[in-house]
Amino acid sequence: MPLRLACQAMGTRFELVLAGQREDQLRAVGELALEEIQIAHGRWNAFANDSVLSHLARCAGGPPVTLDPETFDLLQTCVRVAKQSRGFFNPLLGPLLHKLGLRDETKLDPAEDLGTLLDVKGLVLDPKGHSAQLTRPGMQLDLGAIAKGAALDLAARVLVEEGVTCALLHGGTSTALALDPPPGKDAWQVVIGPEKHAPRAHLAHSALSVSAANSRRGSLPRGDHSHILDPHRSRGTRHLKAAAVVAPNAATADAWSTALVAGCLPSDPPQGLGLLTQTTSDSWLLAPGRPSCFHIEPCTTTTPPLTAAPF
Amino acid sequence: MHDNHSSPDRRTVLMAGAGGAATQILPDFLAARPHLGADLRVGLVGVGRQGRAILAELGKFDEVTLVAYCDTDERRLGSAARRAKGAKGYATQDAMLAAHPDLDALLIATPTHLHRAPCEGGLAAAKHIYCESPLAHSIEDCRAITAAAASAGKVFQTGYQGRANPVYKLARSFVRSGAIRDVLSMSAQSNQKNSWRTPASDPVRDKALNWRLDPEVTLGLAGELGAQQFDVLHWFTSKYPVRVEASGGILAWRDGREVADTVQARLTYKDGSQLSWNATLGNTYNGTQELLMGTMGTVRLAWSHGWLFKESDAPTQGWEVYANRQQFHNDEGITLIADATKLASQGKLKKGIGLPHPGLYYGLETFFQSITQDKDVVCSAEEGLRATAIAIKVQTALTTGQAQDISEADLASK
Repeated sequence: MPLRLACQAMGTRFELVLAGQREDQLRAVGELALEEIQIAHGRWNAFANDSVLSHLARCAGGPPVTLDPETFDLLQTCVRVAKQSRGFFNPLLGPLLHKLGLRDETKLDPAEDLGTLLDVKGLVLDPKGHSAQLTRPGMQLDLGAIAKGAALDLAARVLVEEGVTCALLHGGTSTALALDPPPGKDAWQVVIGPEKHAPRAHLAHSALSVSAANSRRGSLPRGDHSHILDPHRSRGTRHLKAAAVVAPNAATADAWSTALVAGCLPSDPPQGLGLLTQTTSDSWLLAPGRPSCFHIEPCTTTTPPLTAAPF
Repeated sequence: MHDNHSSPDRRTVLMAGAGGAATQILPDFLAARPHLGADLRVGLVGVGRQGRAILAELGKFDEVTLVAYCDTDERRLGSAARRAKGAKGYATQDAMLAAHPDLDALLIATPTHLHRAPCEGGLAAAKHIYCESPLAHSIEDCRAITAAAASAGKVFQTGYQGRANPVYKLARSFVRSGAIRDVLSMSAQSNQKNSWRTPASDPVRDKALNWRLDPEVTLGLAGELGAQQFDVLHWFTSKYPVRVEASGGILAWRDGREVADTVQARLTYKDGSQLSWNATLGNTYNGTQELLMGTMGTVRLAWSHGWLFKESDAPTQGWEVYANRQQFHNDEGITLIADATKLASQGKLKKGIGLPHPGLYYGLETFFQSITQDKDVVCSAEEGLRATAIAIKVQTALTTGQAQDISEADLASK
């Protein structure tokens, strides 16, 4: 019987499904992994005054800030994906979120050029000093498009270090990370969406992330189609309905699924990532030449996903 | 220690002014980067959970360099190497001090029952010491540490963080100036959902890492969770309990443990007032908080946040018109914001809601300032001993089932 543990973090529910011999040890390891997620939440929460992100924002325009290794690694991934996606993934959307009224009532300096504040070149990383610098006052990181995945990666690292290798983890049912498959199976099966014939992903030592354009439409300014922002047009995206990405780690899957919905091309993500896009409500497309991690033929069963929640 | 009894006034209470002042000087507690005025070289003793938290906060102090760290657990040393770039790891404190005799200060984050040796060793080597709370697991060790601190002539701070917390300092100034008038009762809780078990691959490591569940050495929930809160309430009221009763049991984690996971205690004071304290490892509702209920109002504290709930017949102050308020069911709380006027004058009042750093940061900051700026120590070894002694009494009451009287001698450092 697998052990399930859960916690609230990053505005959603994280859940771990662990298999192993001794339940007390499994629980102890699982709690350590959940603690890692809580630490990540504390660091990367743009809404909390005491997070690393808020500290970086307060220091924007000043000298570099020394970071913990996890945050530094995450920002490196952010910069890499931002470049590869031609800016459709952008970790500096804080000012845009404020402008669109999706954050607190902090007012932007009207004289400040929004494009400058969103320019990823303004996030300078120093691998030697393990430091980061936001070069202009007003710049603000928002890692909402990658933090859940990164937290899952850290939790999985704890599990593996402590000897738990058979596990499925998910954050808010939109990003999942699989280690070894369940005994007797060759993969964890995750159903993407609540529909009867929804596509499935087969995961083992890989991660899946699904981004959908309309999941929080109610909070958007009138006329916008999506809570996922197109950084080049400074508004909600109108590109895809949804995108699913399978990648070796959850942060990468998380970031690229957002970038695809925001507007980048299926050819932009590095080779080796599995891609599935949804252009209309009943039309899923497999990107050609990519790993076959998905099944989109009509499913023969309607078995719910292991996490018992729609992806 | 200075004891500020002055009334909170328009400079300290919360106001949302029209803003527009030209100055951009933020309150000290909101400053992005602390200025200590001198460079410090520090060593970290113990790199488990609390050591890791300390590591994360040290990065915010430009003038503090973590030179070295030590831990007897090899795996934790490996993990610290990843987090503490540029610092060197050692298996023992002696080896660390031998290799780095020029360290200014040591931060002690070993298990509670292993505080005494590194404190005494560090003080003997003329290092300033920050020792995590509780001070120790026994009154004998507390007194030994206190004696060593008294004779060393170095800064010694116990890690009771409430005393360094800007929200708590503001709340205390309200309470002590009579904002809630006479304190009738106090309550505190520390609720979390966690088995307290640390994974370990072999029995030796299991015993070492799971010291919180070892009845031979642990102070249980009273020591590891309650002592911080006991200290806050004693600091607010200058009262120490004279009697304690406690009960509890293993209600959430029936996994063979011998240490209670759910505890209730009643601490009675000389004037008849009481502190009711609850803690559990099986439920997270309302987390960690303290309440002081007075005849004119109630102060609720939740580490990064604080609120004042006024009684209807309490006098109204002019500043209340502008106060930031928050509704809790039928009650409306006034948010406690340190340096509110300064923030309001810049239109940044809301930036003061919720501290910009975790409580640990302020504990470390005040320790460093005591070294470099000769500021008063916010929680001395003697104060640390008193809160720890109360926790020891609670734990004794719990394990024996007998109420414990607390005399002045029980709280004395000699």
